Amino acid sequence: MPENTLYDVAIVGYGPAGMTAAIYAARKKLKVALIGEHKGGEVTNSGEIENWPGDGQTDGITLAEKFAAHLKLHTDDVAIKEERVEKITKDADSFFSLAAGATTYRAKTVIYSTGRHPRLLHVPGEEEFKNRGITYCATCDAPLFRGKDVAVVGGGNSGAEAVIMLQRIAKKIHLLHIDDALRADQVLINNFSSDPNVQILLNAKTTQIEGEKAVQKLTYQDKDGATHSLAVQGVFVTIGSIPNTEPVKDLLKLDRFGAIPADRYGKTDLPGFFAAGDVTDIRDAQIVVAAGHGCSAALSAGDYLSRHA
Amino acid sequence: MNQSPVAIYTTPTCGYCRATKDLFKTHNIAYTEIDVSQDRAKAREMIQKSGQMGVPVTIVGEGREAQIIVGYDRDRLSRVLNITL
Repeated sequence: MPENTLYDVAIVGYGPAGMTAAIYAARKKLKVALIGEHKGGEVTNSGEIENWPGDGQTDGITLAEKFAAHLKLHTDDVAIKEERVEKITKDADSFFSLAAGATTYRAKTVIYSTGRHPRLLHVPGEEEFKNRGITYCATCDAPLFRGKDVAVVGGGNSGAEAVIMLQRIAKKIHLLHIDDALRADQVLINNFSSDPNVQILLNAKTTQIEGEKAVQKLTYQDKDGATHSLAVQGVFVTIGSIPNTEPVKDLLKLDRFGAIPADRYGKTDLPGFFAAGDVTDIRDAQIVVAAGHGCSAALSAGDYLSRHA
Repeated sequence: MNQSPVAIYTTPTCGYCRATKDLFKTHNIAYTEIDVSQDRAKAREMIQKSGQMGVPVTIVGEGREAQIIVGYDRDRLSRVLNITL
């Protein structure tokens, strides 16, 4: 059912980009709806955060609460709708319709900032053992693997952070990375490079996960094509993420990774449609970058509205 | 309002656990929280009840009538708890 309000800006996504955009749009006295189903977004699953300026050391849940508390100062201008947007269309009058459950929201402009979701391995056994030993959220599920042998697949920063978290919990940790050098920052790797309980396996391509009721074995291929098995009860998959662009895939052209091409001001190819943060083709998937991009997108939307009033 | 007892298995660092608890609070649903990072027996109990190892797990009701909801599954939570999100 269509809502009667025509918003100046509909912000889709409840993470740092969307919340920052909402704060800036509210300060421009625009009529704002922020639509998203998970307050804080993936930030809340980030665990320890040590690169948000001003906070030294914090954690994802605390930071998301601070964003939300800040946003609350603007409740007069920002209507928060805890819903999932399923489809966005541009109408004949050049405004946008956003379908979310039984409601359709209407807005003059959109700031799309829905972030990403974890990439799957796509190997035999993954579907079967998802949440039966395979997890995509180390921050959430690591405590369940106390005293167990585990594998972390993916040697980027998320993988390194998973290893660091597991050092205090698991018995033996195998870190598998597909290339010949880890991609994670050295400052993270230093935490476990000399830990005898952490085995780093380079040029290791995960090919299968097996078990009975739960994961028991991970098989990987080395660079010579020989296969090896690890007896593990847990597999933490940290091989990057995929932009959440399903609701807009017919609305504008995505890049080959499924991300929305957007400039540094959040402008896309579609007039009135702005995008910010990890859902775009921005290089750095960082909270501070997403927040900054959200700010720029809000200012761009404000500028667009002033020219198209 | 659903009067069945609500229990949630969580870990302290899990954002989806927080989101699920926020949903309970918003809708004035009383719940018992079980931190499985601190209690291995409870962790085993959660795995046995839900057949899986991911948090959060919400249990609504008791015994054979209990409904088990894995994850921050807003659609199922709203149906089982009889609330409008």
